Amino acid sequence: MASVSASHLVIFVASVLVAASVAGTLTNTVGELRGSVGELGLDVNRDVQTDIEIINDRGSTVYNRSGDENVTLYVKNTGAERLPADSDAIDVYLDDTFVDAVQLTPLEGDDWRPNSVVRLDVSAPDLGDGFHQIRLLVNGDEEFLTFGVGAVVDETPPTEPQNLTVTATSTGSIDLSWDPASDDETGVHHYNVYVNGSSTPSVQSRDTTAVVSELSADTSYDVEVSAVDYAGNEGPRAGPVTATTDAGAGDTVSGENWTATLTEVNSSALEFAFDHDEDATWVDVHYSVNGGAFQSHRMEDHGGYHTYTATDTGDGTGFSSGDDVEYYFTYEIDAVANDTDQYFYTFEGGSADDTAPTEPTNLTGSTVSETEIDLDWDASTDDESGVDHYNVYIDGKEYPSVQTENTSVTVGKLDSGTTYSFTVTAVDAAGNESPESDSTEVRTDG
Amino acid sequence: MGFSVSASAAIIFAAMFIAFGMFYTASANSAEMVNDARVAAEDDLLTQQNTAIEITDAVYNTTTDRLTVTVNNTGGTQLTLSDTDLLADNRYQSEFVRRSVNGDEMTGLWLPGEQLRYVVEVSNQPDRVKVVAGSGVAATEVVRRG
Repeated sequence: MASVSASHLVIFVASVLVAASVAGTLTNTVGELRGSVGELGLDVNRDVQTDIEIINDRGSTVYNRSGDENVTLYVKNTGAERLPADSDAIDVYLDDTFVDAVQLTPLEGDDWRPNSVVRLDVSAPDLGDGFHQIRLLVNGDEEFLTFGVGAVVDETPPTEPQNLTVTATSTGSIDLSWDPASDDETGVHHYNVYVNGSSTPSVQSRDTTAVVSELSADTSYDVEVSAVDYAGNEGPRAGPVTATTDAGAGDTVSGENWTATLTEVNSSALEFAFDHDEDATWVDVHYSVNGGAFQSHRMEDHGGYHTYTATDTGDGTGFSSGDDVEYYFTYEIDAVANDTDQYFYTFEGGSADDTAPTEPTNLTGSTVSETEIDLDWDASTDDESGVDHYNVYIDGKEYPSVQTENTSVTVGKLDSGTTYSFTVTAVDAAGNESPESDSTEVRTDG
Repeated sequence: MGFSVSASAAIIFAAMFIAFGMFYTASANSAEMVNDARVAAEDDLLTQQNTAIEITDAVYNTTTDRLTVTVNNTGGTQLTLSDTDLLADNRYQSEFVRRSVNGDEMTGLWLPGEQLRYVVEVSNQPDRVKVVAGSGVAATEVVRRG
């Protein structure tokens, strides 16, 4: 029994020893593992929080060939991690070759904290002509910059704009929209819009929308768009897309065997069209505007269909909204001249209001206090869109000092004991501004 | 025999318990740290997406040798002047004759809708300017002669 308990004791001690050493090794290993996991977490944390950005302007030169033969980069810390301001912290590869000769200079303070910029001078003697790529690596964050050296600048045009669409049409304009083009080198500067295959752009736009204006009503146009980069290279034209402007206002009259159509082709021109079933040899249109003298014009023959576009109301100007037109046609069928009845038409002129209101009259001023002056004037009139507001100008300044919808206003914040000169203009809803009223001079108290 | 085995098993069990405790705290800490970093990075990305600036004009006056750059904060985030950088022909500008937001030279903030105006003295007319906001959002413009 004693021998059994002795061997038991030996085995017991041995098993405890083995267990203790296993436990020691286990806790030790796990302790080391814990340290590694902690560091790994720190590393991943730092990598995720690190973000840098090369802020160089791609359109300007990066490589100083004639001077110190450095590639100069400005690198911004756009992450949340404070980075060491030390060239060892950043790996630089120029055309996939590691570059050791790098100098890092903080530009804001002594360190490279978030949102601050450092200058990176990368020594690159005898860098050849052509495009080069520089790659930066900080805490696993990678940044590229492709730059040109020597005569090779951006020679690649931008891509073709995509999805060119017509978003709206009116009687005289077409609204366009498209998806941006891309240019890997200097970037897209503007877009050219071409109408009917013209070689000169009708519109240049910095955005991806444009309005082509001064078009004729009820006409189809082919529109194309191309992108131009900062170096002036023009990309391929997108389109053409075909858009038709809206038909203008008009009227149709008819008589025995004939039909005449009036169309407002734009805000100041009226087209007469005359069609006779038996094809007239000639057709004349006779019209008078607002009771003026009649004008007679031989209409253009389009094979039995005759047209004439009237642009003169009798005083050398175009039609405007509200003009009363009185007209009739004379024509010849089978060597017999005929004439039609007289008809009336009122020119609508679309929505284009290009007539300014009348100037305000009877402008008077009175002193209220040391800093205030009251002004009063008679209302202006505007037959089209109506008077929207009045601009008050002080001492002939270029921009109005006060705007008001009323025909009187108190001008404040003036200097005491000073004489001011005031003029007033009226502005209609279409933005047309009237001539200035007569000026009035008022002196503040004091 | 049964007694000795259970004692050593108890030691190993205790060691495993301690080891698990140590490892758990370490891995939980790391996971939390990485998670925090990801949340911060997402916040930064959101800020960046909400940031937009637009250079309205860049004029060089040949008689005064001064370059005036006006930039609008067209985005939805508040920007700070100290974090906004100006490059003229790839030259970093740190000295300003004037740097004002809506005419205010004392402010350090550049709020949405406000206009930042730089006036810097440069001896030769630069061709291009670039303005970079804190999040790395940038705008470039060709300088015109005024």
